[in-house]
Amino acid sequence: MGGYEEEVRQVYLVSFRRLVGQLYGVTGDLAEAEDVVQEAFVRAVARPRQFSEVADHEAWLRTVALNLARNRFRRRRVFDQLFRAGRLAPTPEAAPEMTLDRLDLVAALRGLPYQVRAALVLYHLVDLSIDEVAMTLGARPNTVKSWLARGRAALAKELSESEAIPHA
Amino acid sequence: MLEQFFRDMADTAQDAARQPEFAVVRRRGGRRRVRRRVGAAALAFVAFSGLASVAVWGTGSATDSFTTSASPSQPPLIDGARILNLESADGQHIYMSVERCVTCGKDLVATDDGGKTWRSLGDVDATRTDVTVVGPEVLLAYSRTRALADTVKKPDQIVEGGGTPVVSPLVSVDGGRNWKDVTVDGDSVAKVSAGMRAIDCDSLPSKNSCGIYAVDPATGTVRQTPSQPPLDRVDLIETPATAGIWVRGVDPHTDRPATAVSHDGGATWNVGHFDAEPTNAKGVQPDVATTDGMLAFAMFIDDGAVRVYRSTDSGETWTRTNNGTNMPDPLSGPSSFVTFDGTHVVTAIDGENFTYLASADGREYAPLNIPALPALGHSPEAVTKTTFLFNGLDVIYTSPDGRVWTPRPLR
Repeated sequence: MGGYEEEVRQVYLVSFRRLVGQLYGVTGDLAEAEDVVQEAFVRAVARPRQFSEVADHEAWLRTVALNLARNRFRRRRVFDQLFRAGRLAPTPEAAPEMTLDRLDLVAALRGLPYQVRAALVLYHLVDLSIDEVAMTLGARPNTVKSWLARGRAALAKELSESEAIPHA
Repeated sequence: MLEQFFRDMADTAQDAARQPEFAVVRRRGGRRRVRRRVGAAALAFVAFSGLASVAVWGTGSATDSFTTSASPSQPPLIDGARILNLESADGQHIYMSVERCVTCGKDLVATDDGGKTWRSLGDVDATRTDVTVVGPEVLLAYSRTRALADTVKKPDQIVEGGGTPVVSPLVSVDGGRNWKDVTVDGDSVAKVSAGMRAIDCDSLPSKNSCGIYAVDPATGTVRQTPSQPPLDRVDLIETPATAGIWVRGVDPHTDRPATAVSHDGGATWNVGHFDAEPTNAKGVQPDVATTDGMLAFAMFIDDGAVRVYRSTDSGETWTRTNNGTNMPDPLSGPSSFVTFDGTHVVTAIDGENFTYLASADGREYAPLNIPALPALGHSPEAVTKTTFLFNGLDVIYTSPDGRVWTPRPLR
């Protein structure tokens, strides 16, 4: 294995599961999260030298995986229409074993627009700043602030019934 | 705390994730390499045969041009310096958040001469590294704490958490040389001065009610504008100061998205509706781009579906021009811009690369190569009618019309 590929392998060992955990928050489907993260690594292996030149490998992989996830949302709408028309049977979403309140959060996240979901995950889970979230999602910082406010409000509303957010 | 929920969720998914052997990824990567080489060879043959036409700005119209983007999907971060945020109100005074390395903190830097020389604003409190540029030399610096802890101030969006309080913003009226706490005068109102942008409650301490505010360019004092846009859930839209004050929100009567525009500093507002849009239950709002304040494009992006509207009367009437079926590639972000000649340019993903799509009227979008301007997934921005800026991550790019761009390396 060449030096560049070995570098990708090292990152794969360290970052794969962490990235799946982050992408799960965006996709709401474990299998899809695994798939887009694996595809991001495939693209890194296909261009190992360019990947090697990237300063923050995990950030690059996360951006690629997020873009893949977003493209799939677009395609999925076509299938959703077929499901509704009764022409296809929906596939159950893959989910890790979770407590009910965690599943509530995932369900609430899935109800949000893609960008809002991605912004929440990048800000609250990945711990990026507003500017960094904006850069990752190709948005302006004010747009990101708006998404975060809307997302937090929507989650609070969705989760209040199960009292999932403890109040200070 | 929401952070804890996210962490628990991610940890659970992380533990449950099935990680194939690296050999599986390697095999797939190898197959991909072969496909790419075959594809490149085929493209070269087509180009050589004269079957592919390549047009660039300046030689062909925006809508009929075709090209492939040569830009990398993600550039190497050269020598560490990376521009996180780039803002200006006039194109001469430019402010940037810069990260000097992946693990370094952020620095604020500024230029007063369009990028010829730079100075540091490092003296401002290190925690206040998010900057809002309100006027050529008027700016706010504040910190976004990890913020479920924040109280989200908009009345219908209250989320109470705990933890670190919001750091009060500072204001500077001399280009970031001197700073002081923001003073909000709640007893009087003021129009937004010429050459200045409005701010909203997102930029103010949480005790202030939401609304549109003006900053006094001489003193930095903040006051509400004489009237407020007649919409719910109002957000400011970033536009050149000369384009007027643009906001988006929800019509309280229909619960559908709408815009409101003021050309008199916030004294009066004209409302435009998107009546064909669904009621706003999910909070989907349009991303609006305008340069001259009259011609504007609004894009709704909902789970990847795109709908484009166009207005030629400063947002009073919106006409749907595209329902997403004519977008050749998925968009890479919601932000877009309008060139001096009225072309709408959006960012998209062409296979593995970022690219630009352009349309003269918002109906048909075609791939577009902009000479000297890399496609990095985010949009250039109109600062004035004749000044456009683009964050090239380690270079800034400027343009007088959005068509011809000049790189200006950091010094």
